[in-house]
Amino acid sequence: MLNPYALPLLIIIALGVMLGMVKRKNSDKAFHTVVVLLVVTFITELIANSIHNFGFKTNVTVYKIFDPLQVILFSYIFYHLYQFRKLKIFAVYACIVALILLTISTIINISPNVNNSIGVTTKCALYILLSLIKFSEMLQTPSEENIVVNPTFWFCSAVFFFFSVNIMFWITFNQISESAAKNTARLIHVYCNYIFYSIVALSFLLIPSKNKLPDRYE
Amino acid sequence: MNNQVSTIFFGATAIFTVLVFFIILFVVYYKQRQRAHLLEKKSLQSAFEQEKIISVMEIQEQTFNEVSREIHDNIGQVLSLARMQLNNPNQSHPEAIQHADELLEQAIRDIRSLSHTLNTYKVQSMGIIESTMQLVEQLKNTRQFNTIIEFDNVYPEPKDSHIIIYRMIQEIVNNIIKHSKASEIKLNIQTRNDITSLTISDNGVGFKQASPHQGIGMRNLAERAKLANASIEFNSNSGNGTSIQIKF
Repeated sequence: MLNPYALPLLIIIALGVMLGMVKRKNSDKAFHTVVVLLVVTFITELIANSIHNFGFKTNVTVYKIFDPLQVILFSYIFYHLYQFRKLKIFAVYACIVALILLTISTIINISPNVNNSIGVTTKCALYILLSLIKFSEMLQTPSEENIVVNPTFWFCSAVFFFFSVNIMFWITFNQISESAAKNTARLIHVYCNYIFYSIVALSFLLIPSKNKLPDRYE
Repeated sequence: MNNQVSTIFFGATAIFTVLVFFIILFVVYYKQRQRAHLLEKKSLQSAFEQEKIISVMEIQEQTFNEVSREIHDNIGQVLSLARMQLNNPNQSHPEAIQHADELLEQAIRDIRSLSHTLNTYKVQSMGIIESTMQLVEQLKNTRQFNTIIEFDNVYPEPKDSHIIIYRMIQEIVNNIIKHSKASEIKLNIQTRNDITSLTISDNGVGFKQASPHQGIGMRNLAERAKLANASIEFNSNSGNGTSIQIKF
């Protein structure tokens, strides 16, 4: 049996994958990688939420495998979203540093049943940093098109929003002692997941069709 | 509601508000930058248009001067000579008429050649390569230069800016005729990856190249190249000829 909160999440991610596939001809490498990321996330969430049925106590190991993969994919997405070469190089180095930190924190936190909160905080910080850099790059090179219909803007906003909430969640979760408060925090986290993947899925809709491409794409 | 739950609610609301406020602030600031960027782009565009108009006027002025000089120094002289022939009382009548007729024919030829040189429509309809080849043909007919032309079969799409490029080619060829003391003029035209490269070289006296934009003539050519979205490269040394490459 699936977790009741997991089903809407899986549906949203699946919708995102479908929209990404529909728009794949019009999208660039960054959004192709977003589709791959969504597919990987879908598989991870499916396994993580049904692993109890196969006798496993926790699903922490699934996320421990997923995290480095997610770091690589997000870095690759931002590598293609950045226009300046120095920022692309920064994305590569940031990815390497985050992977090293993830590995170290996983080794320190060797128990498969204990959540690697240092690693998760590291990756969240990386994604926030990458999205903030993209925001600053967008400010440096403003284009003529409306920002509100720019898929990259929505993708970056979603990443910034979700992982900022996520980092707060992981920092404060261990400080919460009451179970009711823990449940509330979990619930907020779950709804943030819904919002994040919905915005990512909707950003695919904003990718312009080839016959409607603005000048800079021609 | 217990204490920790309400703290979480307030904390989450505060974080959400801050994050949404940040995104709204970004959009507002971005729009401001976008407006400033558009204004800057517009002003640059109008400055460019103005520069283009000035340059076109300069080209026209230069052309008028050349036409005036050509009429005064060449056609005017020939016609004056024909008039003198006809008014000369010492010469026998049929011979004077014959000589005057030859001079008038030369004057007509010169006017036709001048008209062809100035015809913009011809350059637009024939294309830059064909027009350049015709220019080379005219050079060949003078029999003063050994003219070599090399080109591959790729023709560039006709554009408005090609008039400016053609006038640049004419000016380069005129400079070779007037100043280079060359015996050979070589033209090489080739297109690679949608970029047409036209190299005009001669075996004349060349010139000292202190800086890439030395001299008014070279500066003019460089400015015109910029206007036509082309690039120009000068390569010359005293006594070793000159090579000028235009890429468009």
